[in-house]
Amino acid sequence: MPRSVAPALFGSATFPLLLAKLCGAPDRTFTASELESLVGASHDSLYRALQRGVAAGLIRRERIGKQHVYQIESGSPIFSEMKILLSKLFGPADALRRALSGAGPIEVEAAFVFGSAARAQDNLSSDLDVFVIGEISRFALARQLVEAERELGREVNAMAYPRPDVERRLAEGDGFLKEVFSGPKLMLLGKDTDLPAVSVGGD
Amino acid sequence: MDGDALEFARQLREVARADAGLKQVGARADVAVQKLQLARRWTYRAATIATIADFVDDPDFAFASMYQAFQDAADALLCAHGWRPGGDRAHQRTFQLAAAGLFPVDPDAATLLRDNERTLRQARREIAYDRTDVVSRRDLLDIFRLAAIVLPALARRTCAVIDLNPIPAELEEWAVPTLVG
Repeated sequence: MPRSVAPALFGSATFPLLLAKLCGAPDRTFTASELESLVGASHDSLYRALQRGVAAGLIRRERIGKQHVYQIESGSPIFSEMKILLSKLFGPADALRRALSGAGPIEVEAAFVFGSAARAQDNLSSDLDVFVIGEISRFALARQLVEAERELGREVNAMAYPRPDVERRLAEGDGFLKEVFSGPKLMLLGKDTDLPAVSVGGD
Repeated sequence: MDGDALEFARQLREVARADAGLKQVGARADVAVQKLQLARRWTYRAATIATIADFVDDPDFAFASMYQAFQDAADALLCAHGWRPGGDRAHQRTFQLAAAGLFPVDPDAATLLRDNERTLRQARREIAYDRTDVVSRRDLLDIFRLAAIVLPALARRTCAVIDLNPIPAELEEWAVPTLVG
């Protein structure tokens, strides 16, 4: 994903980066100076971005003692969507996509994040669950993802199965795959519409 | 004990000071050899299961058996030094410490063990506790390739640490069967 997408969407380079950092740790508060170093923005630019976020109800500001602390407003009605979008632009999804794009199209035909990160319910210590359709083994996949893990500082639980195996197991009503494929997915490679379909019917 | 083994023994004592789960059990050459024999047995069980027609659709069974071979072989090296990891992260610590002990004499095998131990544990955990059809045939081929390098290296190192000379033929000629895809 080109790095210019975020500024084009948000009209600022600092604002989406700020939101991404806050979304990555929804349970904690940050001081402005912490955010300044995390985002790598100037004081003025960060201040403007914080003001925008607070005014829009995306960032919560609290006064503790003599200073303000900031936290993502996880109660915002667009929090989940925003977190997933920011993950695609800056966060785990971006790092994982870059890592997986080094594999060939046969090894990794399609890949997506599932579980808590795909539901936008993860935090910085949550594992990232990655499902790959392709002719790659778990061991090779782990090697492919090792740099992304270091970059993110999070454990990635990745699994890979060839497409025929996935299709067969879905057709057989495999409970785990049904849950994965019918649940929220954050696509990394390939299109959602090209994934094997979950058969409709009772368990 | 050679110089590398003495240095590793010193490192283990240091690790144990910060890790209450690592218990000193006393070096037992006979137990270390038994663990290696057990590991070798699990290797052949895994190979047998992987090639039996009834289990060809169940690579999890062979994978879990081979995992046990890794665990026993890594355990053997630590047992030769007189230590045993316990507690929540016992398997992880066993693999990581065994890789550290192997590194000075066989860095390639040690690196393979260190870099793949999490994938091994993760798959085995899913097999043991979560669901069926965890690993693919491709994963099984990979664990056999890994075993062919790492397990004999652990066996050789364990025998060297306990000064087992000559090395019993069955441990010296430890050939992990090759699976075909």
